[in-house]
Amino acid sequence: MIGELLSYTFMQRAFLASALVGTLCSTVAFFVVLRRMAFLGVGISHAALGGIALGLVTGINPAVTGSIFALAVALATGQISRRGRISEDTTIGILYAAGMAFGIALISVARGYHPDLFSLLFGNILAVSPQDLQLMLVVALLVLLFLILFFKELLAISFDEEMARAAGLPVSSLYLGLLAAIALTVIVSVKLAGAVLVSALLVIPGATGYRLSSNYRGMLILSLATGLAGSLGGLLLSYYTHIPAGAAMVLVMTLLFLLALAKKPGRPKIKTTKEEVP
Amino acid sequence: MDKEKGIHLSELICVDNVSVHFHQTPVLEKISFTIAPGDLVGIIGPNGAGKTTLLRVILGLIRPTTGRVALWGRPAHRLGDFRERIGYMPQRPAFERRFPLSALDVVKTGALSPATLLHRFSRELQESARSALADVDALHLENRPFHELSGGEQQRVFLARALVKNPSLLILDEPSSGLDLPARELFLQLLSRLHQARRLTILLVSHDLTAVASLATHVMCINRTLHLHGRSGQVLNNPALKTVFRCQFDLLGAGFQEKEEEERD
Repeated sequence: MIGELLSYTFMQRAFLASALVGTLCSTVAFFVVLRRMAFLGVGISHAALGGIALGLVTGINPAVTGSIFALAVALATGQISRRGRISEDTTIGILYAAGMAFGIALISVARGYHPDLFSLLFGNILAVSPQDLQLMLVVALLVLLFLILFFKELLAISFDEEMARAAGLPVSSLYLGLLAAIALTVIVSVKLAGAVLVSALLVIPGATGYRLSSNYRGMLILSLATGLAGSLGGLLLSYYTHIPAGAAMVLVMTLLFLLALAKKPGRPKIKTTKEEVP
Repeated sequence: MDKEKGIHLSELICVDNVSVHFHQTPVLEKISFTIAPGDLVGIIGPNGAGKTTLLRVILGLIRPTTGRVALWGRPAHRLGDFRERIGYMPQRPAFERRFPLSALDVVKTGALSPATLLHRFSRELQESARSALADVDALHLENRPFHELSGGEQQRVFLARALVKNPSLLILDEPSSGLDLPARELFLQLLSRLHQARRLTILLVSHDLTAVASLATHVMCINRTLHLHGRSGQVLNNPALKTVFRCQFDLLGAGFQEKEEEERD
């Protein structure tokens, strides 16, 4: 059955794209959940709509304008919240509404041009072109390389930023690098999941791993498993039920998360002993 | 004395006329003091006195608005490799409640530095982390999820994290806050033992005056400016302490006796 599906070229691309996005989003989700940045994913994906609309209206590749927009919003969020005495979630709340409003305004003003708003908002995996796939591959390699090279430092600053700063680690650069990684991940995933739903791919796999494992290796592996199962399972669901692929992926991942939630948390193997004063 | 820099080489920390302003609001004003190697200095003061800010200035995390801070004769914000000689235990971080690290993982994060960027944790570092856990009597906790540990156990693991690079200067910010009496007692005994065994210089910020009284060789009382500084007995028995803390009751109950006097008795 799957062999038959993969005989179509567009489905081969869709499968590859789903696997790439599933891997990328679930790796990023690990840090998004640990750093409590879920709202940032929502903010960047919605704000990127402004950039994508700008590309569609001006004829520039929407992936390029969207990436620039998403990166700008991510970096501005970091800078404003760190230097402007405004919290991160307030900054995101402002920027994401502004980005979306800009996108809607552009599309409304550009009379005579009606981009497929439904695909933009909810994704269309079957429209993934070979160029889209190449872009995904390059971005996935860049982001994964960054996360692998600086994994232990990113983990340390997620746990205790003050301590990492005192040790002389480049905390601000690593933070901005992580924001850029999230922004790029959002952009390459929008084609599949749509601007409205992509943020779920940046949270649900990480949250499922977090729920099931007490150690970071386990959390990362379970996050990856959820991301891949959700994206590939969602693609199959989408093919057979004709619901948008983004929605199908989110539904499968949500189901996996609910199963994880239903699982009773494991008891600690060693009982906590009372501390004794010698 | 290094004449060129005007710094006594016997001074480990030199804070010279330091003021810090945040958005035009003075947080610290004209603070000067020196700390010699081997001292255990308690920094006390009421809430908002600028104690943590002072520690962050010493660590080079905040640049003073005026004045200068030097450690081992080097500017605090340009310590380079000398940063490896500092062990820091900040106030309890606000990490995700079930952050998936074991006690050993937490200690290993203390070994990170610019020199370890792009390098894997070596076997030596792994052993240093285990040895630091053993030093705080917590090796048996190494594989336990950090979030499952009691408050006292977590503080011991944080202390091990500060010790993992084998520092000569230990900076502790409110290490006994939130601990119950037995855990606090255990932690203070541990600190005292480490100070003596390793000849560490320790800077200890605490609201816990009895902890400071039992451990510190010297005490600094600050409230934006440095009000009192001297040997523990001189500061803790000084009537001016009540004025700084803006309270009428005896801060240490029956008063404080110098450790040396107690030992002589």
